[in-house]
Amino acid sequence: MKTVIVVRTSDPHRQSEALRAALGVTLRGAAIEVVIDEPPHTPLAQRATDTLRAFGHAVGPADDMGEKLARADVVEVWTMTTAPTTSPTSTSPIRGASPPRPRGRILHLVRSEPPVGAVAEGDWVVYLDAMRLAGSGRPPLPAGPIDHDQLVQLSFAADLVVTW
Amino acid sequence: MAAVKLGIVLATRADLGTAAALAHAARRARHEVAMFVMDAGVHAIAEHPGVALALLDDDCELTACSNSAVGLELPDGVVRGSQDDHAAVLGTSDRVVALT
Amino acid sequence: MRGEVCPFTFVRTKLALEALPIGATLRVLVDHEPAVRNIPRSATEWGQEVLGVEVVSAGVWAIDLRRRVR
Repeated sequence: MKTVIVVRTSDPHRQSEALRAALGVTLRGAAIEVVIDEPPHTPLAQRATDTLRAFGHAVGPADDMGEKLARADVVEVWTMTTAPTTSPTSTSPIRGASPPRPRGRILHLVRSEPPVGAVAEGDWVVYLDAMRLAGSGRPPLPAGPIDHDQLVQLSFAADLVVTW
Repeated sequence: MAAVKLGIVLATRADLGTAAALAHAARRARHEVAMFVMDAGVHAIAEHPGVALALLDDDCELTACSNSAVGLELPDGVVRGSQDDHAAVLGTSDRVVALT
Repeated sequence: MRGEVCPFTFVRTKLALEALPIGATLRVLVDHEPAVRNIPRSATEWGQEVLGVEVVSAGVWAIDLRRRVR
């Protein structure tokens, strides 16, 4: 099983928690890749990073997020604990959609803007704060407002769910 | 039809409502639900015990990272677990929604 | 494992167990009360045997494990 942990916060505590989680997930044999742009801010974060690398897991910046997502079975995106002050509106298109994936469809739950290249043509997008399904990717439900029952349905219809 | 399992990882306060709503929706669809809570997510559970109790009443498994839960009172039924439980939720779920 | 935080307690326990021959035993000392329950529970799920848990001194517990599987 391949788990990708994306660390999208510069908060030292949150960074430490993300790296602690990444190390924890290795305990049942999963291969881990940590995508992180900043150096470790705390001794715990440094120790977790060093331990992950010593076990052969990749820790470093993303050169191709789309490719990393395509190979993942589970993705955790670690952000700040508070909701972003500006969320993408449900009418704004996701920037920089990449070509369709060769295999696997991702459901992106959007609280904050995904990185460029993360969303491929054919992927589905739900703006989580507004609970609105975008029309891109030809989802199995009509674009527009959805409820949580439909969100569960979409989650299992997709191959992977990533919350930004 | 074989039961499918939804794993939810919650590590923020802001996403508690979404996590709970997803869990209850999954239960309505007769899916198994296992939720692992850590960092600010544990604080959210401690601050809203009714939400946790409702999840437990709905037969959701609810495990909190005991490291994150130090000094916090959690409702009966919430397991004070570990990152190994986090790994187990990810490894045994058919689909994982991470609200981290 | 005194003073260790999760998941380093588990990582170190798992590594120590994996370095042992089948049938060998390992004593893990912890000072975090939830670890007294969680390490045995995890060890069992990893397929290892929990021989016992005892209080060593105030706030310190010993967890005895036996390696059973690879």
